[in-house]
Amino acid sequence: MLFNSTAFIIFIFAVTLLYYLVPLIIKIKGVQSWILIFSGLFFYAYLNPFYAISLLACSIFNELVVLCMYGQYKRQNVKGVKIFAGSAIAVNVFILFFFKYSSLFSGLLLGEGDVTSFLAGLPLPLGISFYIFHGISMLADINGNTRGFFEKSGRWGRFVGIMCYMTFFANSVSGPVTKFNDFEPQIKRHYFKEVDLKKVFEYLLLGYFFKVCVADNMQNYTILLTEKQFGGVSPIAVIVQMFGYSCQIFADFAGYSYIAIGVALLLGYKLPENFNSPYISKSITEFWKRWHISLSSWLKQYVYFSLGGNRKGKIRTYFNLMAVMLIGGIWHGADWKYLLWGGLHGLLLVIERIFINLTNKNRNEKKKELFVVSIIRMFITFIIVSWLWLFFKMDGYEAVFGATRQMFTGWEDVMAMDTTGVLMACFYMLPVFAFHGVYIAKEKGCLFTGKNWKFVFYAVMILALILNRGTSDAFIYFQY
Amino acid sequence: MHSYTSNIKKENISEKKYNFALKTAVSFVIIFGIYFLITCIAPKSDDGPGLYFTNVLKAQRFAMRTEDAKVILVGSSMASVVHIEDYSRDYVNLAFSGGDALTGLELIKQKSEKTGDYPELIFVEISDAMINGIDEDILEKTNGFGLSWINRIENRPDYIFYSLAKSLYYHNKEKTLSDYGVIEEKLEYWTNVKSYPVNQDDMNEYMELAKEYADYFVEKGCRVVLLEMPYDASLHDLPETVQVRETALAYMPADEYEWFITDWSEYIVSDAIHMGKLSADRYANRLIETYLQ
Repeated sequence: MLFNSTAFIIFIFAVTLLYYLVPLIIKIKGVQSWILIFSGLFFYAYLNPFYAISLLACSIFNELVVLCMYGQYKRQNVKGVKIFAGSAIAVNVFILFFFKYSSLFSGLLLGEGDVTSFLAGLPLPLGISFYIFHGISMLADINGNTRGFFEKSGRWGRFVGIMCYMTFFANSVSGPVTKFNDFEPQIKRHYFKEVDLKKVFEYLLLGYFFKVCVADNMQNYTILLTEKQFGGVSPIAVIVQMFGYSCQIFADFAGYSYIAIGVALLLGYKLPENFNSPYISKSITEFWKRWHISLSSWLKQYVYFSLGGNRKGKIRTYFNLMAVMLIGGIWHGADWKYLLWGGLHGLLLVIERIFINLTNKNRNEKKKELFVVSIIRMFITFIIVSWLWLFFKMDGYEAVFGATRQMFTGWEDVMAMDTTGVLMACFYMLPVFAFHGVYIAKEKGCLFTGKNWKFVFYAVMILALILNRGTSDAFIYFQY
Repeated sequence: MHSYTSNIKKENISEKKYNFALKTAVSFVIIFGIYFLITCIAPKSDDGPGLYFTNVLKAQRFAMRTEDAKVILVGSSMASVVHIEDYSRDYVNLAFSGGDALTGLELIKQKSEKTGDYPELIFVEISDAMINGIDEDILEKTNGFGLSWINRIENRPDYIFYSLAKSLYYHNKEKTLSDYGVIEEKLEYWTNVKSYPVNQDDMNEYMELAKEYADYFVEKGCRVVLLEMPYDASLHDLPETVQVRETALAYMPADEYEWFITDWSEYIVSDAIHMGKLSADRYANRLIETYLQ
């Protein structure tokens, strides 16, 4: 069920009720975790039983591997533990590859035959990109701290903990990607009185506002980007819709993440923040510290550091950055456009790193930058990021280049546009810009610093939710 | 001492939660009040920022109309350009772009059954658009809770913004097609579309429904006039156009039902299926002269 559906609201209400009431009646250790596990499986099965079966199969596989790792640990066979962990990680990667990318490579190697058609026809388990990453994180974290994990709890406790982590419905569909070491310590009995309801309210309100009022409405005004030809289209329309889509994808994805975090908080779990006003970034490097933070963090810890990070010289650092971004790109989907998107981001990161290395010898010396210069840098970064988002929305790189060409050369058609569409796209960009603007103003300490301002924002968002809902649609990141 | 301190702590937390809820509620009431005033004084456009908005707006305004509508035109976007409402406050254009006559007919039926007042004359556009069936979403938004203040399109912030922008920058200038001649690419497109008949079973189903509505309104004392909106004359005898015409005449023959027949070549249909402004005005004038004067 979609997070923005009535069914989900009812589901959350029921789960929360059971989660806090049942342990008062059934005084068995871990009953809350079991409620979460069954809720997670139900959540997936509601959409399609196949999704639940896939998730369960993946979770049980990882459980069995951990069991084997435990066996090796008891025999004090460190190498054995690593072999099991490494092999299982490879199997997880293979499962992800099989379901997501096999048709792409089959098409490349074997052409558009029966095999490719069969592979392309396989259903993609919902959230596979996320729960496979969770599985990998779990195996890597346990491998890195076998004693801490295996001595802490008994076999049954470990089993429940792993299942709880793998099936936690709040983040297993579209993140935030949560590392096992961050989640596992939180698996314990939770009490409703400990829940920070204010924070839950804030996250849910912000999440639903962005998704239901901004993203769901904005999708009607970025339709032009689904075209393949842009001849005769006003460059203003193309540019506005490009920025509009940037705001749409932020509102959609950040909205989902805020809802996931709010729901998790309601159940006593703290998930990592996924967005930190990404469009105020002054560089691509900073952008990746503010956008999809959980994925960046995961890739940094399990891929970048594994490849050596920045400890093996400059050239190797650049290579590692590029590799991470290519993986991050292709993770989004089995299409060359995502690889291109990731590659371009990687290239920009490398260029920035080279520039920093050449110009900033003393990194500890922080020069104070003029505010105007900061704004210009933010704007340039926003333009670059927005242009790169076109690879997500548009049908192939030819369409992206076609649209780009029209932005520069199509000025004789400047008035050939749906003015209403442009106007409304600008209207729906306002909340996203306001969100970022308030962040900057608060950081600078010049505006919105009073404690009561947030109540005004709450009121505006509640009003918008009541009056200005868009047409309900799936979250963009559900497809990844 | 410990329980006394922890009780104070619990009370402080409860008080904070209460203050939080109270401040949120008070802020909401104030913001809502300000917004309500804005909706009262803001300009109100006749269309919305998109087809869906315009259609729902039109439907809701019709459903909430207090004056009787004596003459109503129902149909699709082809009929929506025929502004009979310019002739009298008692005339209503209830044609939906992207929709069809069946939705309009159902709306009229629902409203008339509630109020007991039936229109004197209904113009019904007969076209392939009827294969869309009745738009249930529009009906939902014109009944019960769908018409409540919070569900009315006119009270949406994006509509208010659009109306304000339109009043400031467009001066209510309507976007219309020109009458200078047909656009070749469009003509080619529609020639291709209309060269292939639609599913006959579907066409029969919806034409039968149109007949039921026509019979219902005639029984209630309304005059029902069926009409084919002019396309570009070159499309007149294409397979799909002929199919629609013949199916309609099979269900509602000319000797039993009132048809308005016109020579399509008199009208310039700029994008091949929608009349240009001057042609649409002339068509509206013909309807008024023929049936209302």
